[in-house]
Amino acid sequence: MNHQNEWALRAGLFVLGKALTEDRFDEIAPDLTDLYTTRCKQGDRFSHLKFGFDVLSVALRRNLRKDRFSWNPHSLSSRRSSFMFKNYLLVAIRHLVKQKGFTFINAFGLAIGLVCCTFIWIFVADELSYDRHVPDAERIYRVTSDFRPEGKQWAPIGPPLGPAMLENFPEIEDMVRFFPSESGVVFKHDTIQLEEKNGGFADTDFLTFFGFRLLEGDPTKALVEPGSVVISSQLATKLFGDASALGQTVSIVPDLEAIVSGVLMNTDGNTHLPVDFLFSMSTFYSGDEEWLESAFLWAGFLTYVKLHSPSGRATIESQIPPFIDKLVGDRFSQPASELVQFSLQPLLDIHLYSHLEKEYRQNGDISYVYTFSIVALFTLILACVNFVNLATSRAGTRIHEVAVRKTFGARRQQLIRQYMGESLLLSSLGFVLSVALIVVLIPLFNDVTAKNLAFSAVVNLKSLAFLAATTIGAGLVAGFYPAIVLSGVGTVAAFRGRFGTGSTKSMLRKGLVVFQFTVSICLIAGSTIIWKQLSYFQTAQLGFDKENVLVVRLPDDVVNTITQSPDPVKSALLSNASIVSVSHASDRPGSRYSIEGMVVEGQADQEGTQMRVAWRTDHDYARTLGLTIIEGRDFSKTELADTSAWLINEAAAKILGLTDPVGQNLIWDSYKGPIVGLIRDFNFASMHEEIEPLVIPLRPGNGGQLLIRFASTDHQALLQSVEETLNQLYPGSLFSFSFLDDSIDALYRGENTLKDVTVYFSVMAILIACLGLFGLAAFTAKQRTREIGVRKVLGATSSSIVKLLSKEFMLLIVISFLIATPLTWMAGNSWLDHFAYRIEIGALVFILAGAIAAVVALAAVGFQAISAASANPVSSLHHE
Amino acid sequence: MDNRLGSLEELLLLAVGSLGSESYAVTIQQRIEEVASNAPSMGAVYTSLERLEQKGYLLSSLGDVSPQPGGRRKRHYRLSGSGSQAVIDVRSARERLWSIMGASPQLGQSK
Repeated sequence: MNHQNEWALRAGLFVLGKALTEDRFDEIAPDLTDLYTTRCKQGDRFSHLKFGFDVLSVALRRNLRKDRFSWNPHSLSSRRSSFMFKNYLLVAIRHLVKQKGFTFINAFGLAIGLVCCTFIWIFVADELSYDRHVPDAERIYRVTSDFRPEGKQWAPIGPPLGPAMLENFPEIEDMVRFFPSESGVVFKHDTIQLEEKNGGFADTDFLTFFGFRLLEGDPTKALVEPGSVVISSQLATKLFGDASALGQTVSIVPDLEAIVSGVLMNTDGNTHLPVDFLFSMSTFYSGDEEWLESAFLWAGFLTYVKLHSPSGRATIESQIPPFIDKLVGDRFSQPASELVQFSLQPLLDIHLYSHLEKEYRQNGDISYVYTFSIVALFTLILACVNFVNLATSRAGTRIHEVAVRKTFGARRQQLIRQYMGESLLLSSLGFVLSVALIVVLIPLFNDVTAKNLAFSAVVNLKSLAFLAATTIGAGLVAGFYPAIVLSGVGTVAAFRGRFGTGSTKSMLRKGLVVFQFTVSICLIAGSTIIWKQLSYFQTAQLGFDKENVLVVRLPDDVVNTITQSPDPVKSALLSNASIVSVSHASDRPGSRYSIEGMVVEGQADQEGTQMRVAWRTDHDYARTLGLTIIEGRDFSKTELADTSAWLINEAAAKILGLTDPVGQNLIWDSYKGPIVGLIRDFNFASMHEEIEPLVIPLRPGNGGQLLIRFASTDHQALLQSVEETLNQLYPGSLFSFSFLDDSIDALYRGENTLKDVTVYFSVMAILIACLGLFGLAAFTAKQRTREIGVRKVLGATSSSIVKLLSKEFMLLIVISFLIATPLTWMAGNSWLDHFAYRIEIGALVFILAGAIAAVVALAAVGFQAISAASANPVSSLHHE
Repeated sequence: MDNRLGSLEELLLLAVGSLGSESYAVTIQQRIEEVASNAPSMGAVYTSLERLEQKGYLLSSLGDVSPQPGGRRKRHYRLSGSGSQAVIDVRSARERLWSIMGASPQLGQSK
């Protein structure tokens, strides 16, 4: 029996206990409990509902209830209580219907707050759920490496380290390694050909370690044999349809045959390591054993260890340096521990905290989780405050009703119950609205947050319970003031329409308005800042031209044929008039360039300076990307010397200490050549980071990607013609296409989500705040009806009265503005500090936010003020 | 006291009779659910069982404590003499009506 059932059961028994006499409870409760547990065990989807129905059917039966014996249909008191209840309900409904606008505004405002909060809550819960389904997740760590001296932290480590650690450290219970396939794999079966991106090579224990379950195959044996592959059930269906996949042979383009040794069951849990295919590690090792066994400093394998207890982490971390020195020996001129350090990163922290080099996938960010939670909380408070404010401001209209009820002998407690009940009725309306809104908005939510939450993940017992609790809370708080204050007014005073409007209460109300507008202004200014920073990213001078570049990823079978010269692909593509230039390359801006050590010939430092390298490029790289050469020249086909040559960026020249780089010889392992050109720094990574040193060698050959610069505005037609050309050359191969600007923009997906969310929320917040202000202005205008009448009789103009009424609220907005500005300024600056290239927050942002708030507030207040001011003074003086 | 039988009450009496020594509130409800198109709620079952007991059609006794942990005593129902008589009366009344209707052409035509 799970938690949910436990709680449902408790709630049910509580209700029964309240309703039934002890004897009956003892008899009936166990019956219903048995029924419920049996249904749960049978897997009845509606067991909760049926249980609820059973409980209510019993609890509502009048002749089973405790109060049965006091209930006598002929006694006066019980007739009155039932009659009064009907009367209360009728009065409440009449009021809600009579003031349709107010009812709608109030319920809607609460609903918006509830909806926002629920969505954010779901988003946060989803973000926090990553990898929690893994067995013993809290004892699992990822070993990461920290390369000196440049101090970049990498997610993977060298292949031989994992097994050596498992052997050496008794604290480690189990270890698995995973080598991600960087570019994806093309699977082929019969005529079906599919490219899959998520997957790699995994150790034998990988499946049991991460708690994968298999639909077919044995998890302990599936990853043993070389050439075996475990695939996801989706991939299995795509390749083999409904037939069993186990034991089938799939071809891996270009030249590998693999046997399906298992099919993964779909897991519901989120993970930082989503996989669609897993090859056995022995597949990867076959042929390369020797090199892999000695590749201590190659950050290639994601390595996970499970400790006997989390306390072993510190011990292991402190013992790694001597261990690694012993393991590596004197292969390098320095002890290995001076070159690289290792640390253990908790598995559960990876998704939200880890942004290392060579992460398997881009992870989430804890700061977004915090930001969203705070924003959601404020929106909810805003909505509740609003609900209370509106409800209390309306209470005054009921004072005469109270007087009549009191005259006819209503007790204070009865009045309190009546008004509390009414308030609860109104808030339940908000509840119903919010559920409806949530259902409607699920697709939008998925769109904005790039998640894929099903209806059942959003609307479930938990979220409904949360909504209901908040609803009841808001209803009770909102009902409290009218209930207590109205019921406490003396009968005579009530008839005269007098009740407490003391200065403390209006101070409280003003305080609430200030709070609402502070939040609104913060949100408006905040989203403006985020929006400005993002558009700065998207329009900033990147140093290359990201527009009009098509990137084609070539499958391995094609890549291998392209080494021959002249290059058939290039010449075929260039015959298209709208294609300007084509370059074969391994890297493009936005992808991760590798890091290698470079040595300048003649300089003392023989270890090499670590910097980014474009692994493979040809003559047209700089031209296709639109890089600017500020000294020297581009690679040239006519110069014989250019069989090996370099282009370097300004940052590289600086770090190498070259004032006049052109002509110097640069050495990278066995590759040596002169620097022919200096290029202006360009943002080849994202704008989060400073531009790093980058060198571009001339190494034509199988880069794996085609960069195509074109001069046509019809992207679709271009895409089609490129595809046709390639398919003619390589029938049956699979190409994937993307536009460079799209993939550059994708680097800022996190910021985009943040922007969308803050924009939506600031609209919500300002909407809610305005609803509140609107109600409050109406309240004030009503209270001052006679004052306005007298002023008009004495010659005040309508405009002076509008000014009089608005002034008070404008003052509140100004105060909010003064509070919100420094808050947002500080928060905004600390957010912008994450970026190497950032905007400055100008005063304009705040002026804009303040102005929006002021205009919207004026509109809300002005409407009430004008209607009050233009009223005939005779009728307003007659008011009472 | 009004001694006429409601249709639910009739069903309950029949269910109790058919269940023999296994007739408890839950099993009675489930038996009716098995055979009838619209099953009564648990609340209705408890109420009606009590009413039938008051009318003297049903007798009830608390059974032995069931052996499993947290076991409890279930209330066990059986038909009283007047209860059996009441269902038999209803049945014979119905059968007479059916036989009369069988002779009339009305039902056959409406089919």
